[in-house]
Amino acid sequence: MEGLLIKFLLLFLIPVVSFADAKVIMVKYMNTPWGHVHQNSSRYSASLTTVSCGHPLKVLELNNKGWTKVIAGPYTGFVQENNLVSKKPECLQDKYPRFFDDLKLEITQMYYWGKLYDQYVEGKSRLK
Amino acid sequence: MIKILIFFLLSQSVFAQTKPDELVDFSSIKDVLKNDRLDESVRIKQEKNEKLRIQKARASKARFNIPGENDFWQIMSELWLVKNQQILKWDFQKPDFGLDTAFQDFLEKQGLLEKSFKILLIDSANVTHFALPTTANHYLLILSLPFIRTLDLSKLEISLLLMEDMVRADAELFKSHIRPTAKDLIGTNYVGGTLDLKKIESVLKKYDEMILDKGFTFSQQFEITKHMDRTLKNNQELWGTYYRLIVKIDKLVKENALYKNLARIYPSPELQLNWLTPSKSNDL
Repeated sequence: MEGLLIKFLLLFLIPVVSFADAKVIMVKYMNTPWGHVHQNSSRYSASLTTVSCGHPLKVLELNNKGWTKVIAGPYTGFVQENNLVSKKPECLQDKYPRFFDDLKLEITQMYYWGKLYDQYVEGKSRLK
Repeated sequence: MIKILIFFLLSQSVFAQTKPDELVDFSSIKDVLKNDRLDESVRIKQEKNEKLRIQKARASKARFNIPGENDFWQIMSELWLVKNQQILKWDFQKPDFGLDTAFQDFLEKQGLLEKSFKILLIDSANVTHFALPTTANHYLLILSLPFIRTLDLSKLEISLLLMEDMVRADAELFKSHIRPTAKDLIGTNYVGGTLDLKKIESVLKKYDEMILDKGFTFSQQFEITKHMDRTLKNNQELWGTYYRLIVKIDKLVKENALYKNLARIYPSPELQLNWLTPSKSNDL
């Protein structure tokens, strides 16, 4: 009986301890119209969830080879660093809220819109 | 006690002087009120309330704004890409070709600075290469992986192809084709009405028409080729690479049925070679 009680207590304690281990460094915001939280730090890894622009994400690990480990709701995953910003961005969905509502985008379209930003090869020519 | 009684009597006599039905005349104290600046404070309060009301009305109306010129093209181009994912097949796994750094270096060497670009590689031959309209100083470039593999293009050749697309984007050839259809939408407001989705569909159909079917005109293509000619002539090696690239494309459209459409979108590689060769120049 005592052993069962200990197991029962451990069952409650382990998630609490592991959650406490995951230290939130800061909060960052999604800066693309839609974006994905990936299972692993790869643009081709499975998407855990799709979040829209301006969504706050708790950062656990900062920029590791272009990827940031975050908590988004119940999910812990990875987001491309260049899709995140430190201050709440001015999102297109906030600038034109009714327009985006009335476009009546399907969930799959939001999913693919997020995927676009995974697939883009981005760059900028600069003054040297 | 006597004092209280006198005070009570006096106050009664004062109240007795004002009759209940008589209107109180404030004109005698108007100056006093003015000096108190009560009128002024009322006016300031009213102005403040009016400003707030106007601001609220404006914010409420702004919720129904349709994106203006700067945001409209980005939204429409990305919406078109999302809706055409099955045709373009851009959601696929591929190795890192290092295109970002190669193209960035190329632009810097050409003096094309502070240009942001997004390249979307597609696993389809339906579109070979194209610049979609987007925000100012930004370029949204589609590039077909089967196309560059079939032609075995080097990074320099790819960069030249993308630069050609950038020149087309700067000339706003695509935008000018779609603007007549989109002008009723760009930067307008539909408060009190509904968003006309048919108009959005018409804009997206124009995208289809331009990218998948009609493409550019001969005169537009002539201007672009001449611009590339003038820009690249300063560097003979680069000009030679561009010329050989067009030779490759010309051969491809003549020999490979899969890319026959390419000569319709960009008419035509054969003419481009004529325009580039001084001895055979064939000005329009």
